[in-house]
Amino acid sequence: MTIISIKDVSKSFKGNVLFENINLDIRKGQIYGFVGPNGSGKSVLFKMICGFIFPDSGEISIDGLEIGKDKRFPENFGVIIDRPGYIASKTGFENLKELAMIRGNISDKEVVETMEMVGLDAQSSQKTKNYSLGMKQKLAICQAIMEKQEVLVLDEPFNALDVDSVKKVRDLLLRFKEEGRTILLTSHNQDDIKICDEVYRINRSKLELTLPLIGDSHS
Amino acid sequence: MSNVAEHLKDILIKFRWIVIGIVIYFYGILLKNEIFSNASKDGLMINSWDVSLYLLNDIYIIVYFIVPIVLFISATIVLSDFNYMTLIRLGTTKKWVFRSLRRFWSKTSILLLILVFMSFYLTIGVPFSWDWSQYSKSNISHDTLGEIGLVFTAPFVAFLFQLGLLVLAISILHIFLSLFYVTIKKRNIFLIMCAILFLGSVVGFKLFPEEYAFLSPTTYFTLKNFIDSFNYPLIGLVVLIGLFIIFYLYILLLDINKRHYFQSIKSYLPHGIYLILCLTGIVSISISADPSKDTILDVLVLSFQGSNSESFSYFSFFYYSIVFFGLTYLINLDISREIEQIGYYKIIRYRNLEKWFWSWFRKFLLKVIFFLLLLGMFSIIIGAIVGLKTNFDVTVLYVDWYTILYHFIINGFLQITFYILSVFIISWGKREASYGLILISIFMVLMLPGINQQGVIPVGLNSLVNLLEHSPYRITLVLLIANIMIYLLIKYLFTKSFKN
Amino acid sequence: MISRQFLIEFKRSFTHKNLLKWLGIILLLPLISFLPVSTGYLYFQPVDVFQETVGFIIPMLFPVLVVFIYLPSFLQEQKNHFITYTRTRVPLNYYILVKGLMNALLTGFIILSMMFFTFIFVTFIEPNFIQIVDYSPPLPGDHEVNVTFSQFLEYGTWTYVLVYSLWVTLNAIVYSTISFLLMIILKKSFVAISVPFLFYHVFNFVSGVFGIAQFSPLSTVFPFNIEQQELWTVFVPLGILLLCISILYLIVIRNKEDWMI
Ligand SMILES: Nc1ncnc2c1ncn2[C@@H]1O[C@H](COP(=O)(O)OP(=O)(O)OP(=O)(O)O)[C@@H](O)[C@H]1O
Ligand SMILES: [Mg+2]
Repeated sequence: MTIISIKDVSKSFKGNVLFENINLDIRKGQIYGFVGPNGSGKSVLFKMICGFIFPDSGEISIDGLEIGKDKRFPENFGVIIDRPGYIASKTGFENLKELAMIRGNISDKEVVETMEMVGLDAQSSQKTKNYSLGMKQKLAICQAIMEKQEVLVLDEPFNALDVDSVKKVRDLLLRFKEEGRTILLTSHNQDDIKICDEVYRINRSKLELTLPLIGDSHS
Repeated sequence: MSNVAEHLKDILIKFRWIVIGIVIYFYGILLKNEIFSNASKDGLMINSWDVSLYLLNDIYIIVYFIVPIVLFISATIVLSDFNYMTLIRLGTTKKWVFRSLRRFWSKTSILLLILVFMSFYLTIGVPFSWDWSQYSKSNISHDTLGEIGLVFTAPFVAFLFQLGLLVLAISILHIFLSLFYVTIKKRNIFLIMCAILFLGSVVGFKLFPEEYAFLSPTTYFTLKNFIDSFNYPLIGLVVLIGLFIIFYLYILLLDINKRHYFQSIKSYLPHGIYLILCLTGIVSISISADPSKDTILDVLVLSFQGSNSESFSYFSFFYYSIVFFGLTYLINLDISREIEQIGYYKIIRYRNLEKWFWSWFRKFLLKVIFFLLLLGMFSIIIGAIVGLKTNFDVTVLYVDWYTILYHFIINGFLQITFYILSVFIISWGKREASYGLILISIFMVLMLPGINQQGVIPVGLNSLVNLLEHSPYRITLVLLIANIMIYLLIKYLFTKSFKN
Repeated sequence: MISRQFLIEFKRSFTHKNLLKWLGIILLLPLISFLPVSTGYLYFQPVDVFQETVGFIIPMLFPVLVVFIYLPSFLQEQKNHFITYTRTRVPLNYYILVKGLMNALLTGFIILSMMFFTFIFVTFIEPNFIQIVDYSPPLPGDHEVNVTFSQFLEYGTWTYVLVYSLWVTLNAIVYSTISFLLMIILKKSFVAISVPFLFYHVFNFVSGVFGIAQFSPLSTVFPFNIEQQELWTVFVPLGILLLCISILYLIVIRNKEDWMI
């Protein structure tokens, strides 16, 4: 089942052509990886999928609804894009709670559970401004997964994580896949890419399918 | 340890509001003393509303104290709340704007409460009354209270109005800032905008002459300035509500990829501009008509009088050109597309040039009739709207209404058909639409005074002034002959081009 | 390189067809315009006839006249993708630059010649050889009809004709250059060619609606239908057009990849 469909999408910034008529269908329950050199447009692609920026031409639809026409931001997406900004004077828990309140469909307990899942101390009264880089990254992961979002769009989710945490998060993602959730991620690390069912490389403004190195689970 | 710090911060946050309260209080005392000394000098009675309204209308406390705090609250809320994590949960930017407004008011309402509370607190010990005081009715205070007193019958009403004004103006300020940030998404430019707003409000109330005061943000924060700038407070409200509506419309557009719109707007743009020009002419003629004697049909006659060899005025000539040659031009655009792009594929399908020709020409004919009816209706409706007499007399020409309509519709239709056919011949023969422009220019020349003296050149004959000299049926005949001739020519060209 | 290209372009434009067209504009058009105004009007001196002749038919043809002097040949090159083949022989921007200059030069020259020929015709040829115009000496009650630019008449008829003809020429160049620039930018050459035409006629109408006819294109380029205006008024529409040209020029040079060639 196709969840996200990208049709003839082009995007450029002031003459800097990032994508030219790319097409892609994202199916439910798979992990998709996107690779490419710095500045090749991975983050831009994710931003377009989430409706934060619009493509110059072509259309992106989520469950058949076109972004920028039928709806703006997709529902039930967990997203990490760019470095997240937090209310610096609040604790990690308070920050997450503030976000959870917007939709109000999870309890404090679930927030705490999610924090523990990635290895953050929910009880700590440490302000996020004093968080380390890796802790902030974990907080970003928390907000992306805490509401059991169906689709996860994760731009470099393993950034700045220690070896144990990377493994923890990878296992977490694989578990989510088992639960039927769909995951899109980028990474510069070949090992991270191994958990993907399909990997796409951004090459000369096009998406090229490059099969995963080990375990070609999809075919 | 950290708990203590936490507590300290909590206290500080609460303290912040108290500091604000104290500042307002002391400033209010100064104002109160000013009123007291003024009133006692002349032995006038004051009441609590004087003090309260005087504080709320003090431009200095608004500009140098309230506005900066409001801007600060607004900016921090916009900057801290606009992030992808919040947006993706809200689902639309529109919801974000409203959420931001709610969050903004959850803080700003405290500020307003303090201000209002202080304005009442200061009245302790001052006699209360539901009426304007002696002092506010006297001349000395004409500056602030007197003016307000002239507009509002009761001070309580003025107070409510002031409060409403502040809430409305501050809301608009925040909506503007949040929309600005959503649009540009650049932190520094946003902060510069905040600075500009602050400076604008400082400069605004000092420098702007009264006529331009409506441009200054401060005008909308105090009743006094508001009344000064708008002789009639309702107009000012209309300005504010107008802004509200504009912002709301913009909010509706926020979540749409404007590219879709631009594309569809772009394809309708020529027709849109054309229709606006047509309407402009009718409207300007209706407005200049005399409601005491002109009728709605006069609007039709005056608008589409056009010109002929005998009677010529530049305005009606230009308007005729805009309406009828404009239409010809637009149709020429379509014809050129028909000929240059899709034509050949279609021609192959139809196998027969004439069939191909009628396949699209038919549609144009229908459109022309529809368009003429529309024009006629517009001129009658607009005439009725501006209050002209709604009967079917025609006062500007000695002709019956059915002759007018016959001429306008039938001869108009035939005339436009002739234009279209001529333009088609040129485009077909030259395989290049631009030559149609030369033809249209020549048509325009043929309508200049003294050229088409016998009325036999089939150009501009649907001008209503022609009814002065010619019978409409004669004109129909001329146009019919012209159309038949040109159609025969087209047929000839078609057979010829098949031989090659 | 540029001057050589210029020479080549110059030679290329002088085709028989073009020559015929241009001669028609210079010689025939003034005669055609002269005929309807030759009788039935009161004239004191040839310059009145000149004004009447120039102000009657030519204003209606002006915006198409100026774009059709040279641009159709460029249009043909565009349509048939001729320019693509010149690219190996001459740098594209030289080619386009030369085309633009050539357009301005030829349009200017032909409009100026047309104006001068009109004047020479009504001053020298008509009174000596044709004599259909009735000149009557001004009666005591008659005033000179003053129009914009007749401010220059006090420096002599020739000065007036020169200044006024140059003014019309300048406008002609501006109008056709706008079309030229648009042809490079826009996909639809028809639209590009018609922009001066549309601007001219639409603003004649719009300025009439708003009661500012003194700024209309017609009344500034051919100021014979309204009373004399101060000279600065004529620079208002020209200023707008010059602004447009500057913007278009910037667009053109900044989007070289997107040129329609
Ligand atoms: N809003 C913007 N305005 C202008 N240019 C932008 C904008 N956003 C991205 N770009 C440009 O688009 C290009 C792609 O950026 P993007 O962040 O998608 O790269 P990336 O593939 O994610 O790189 P990295 O591996 O470093 O994360 C960059 O050259 C960037 O400068
Ligand atoms: Mg990136």
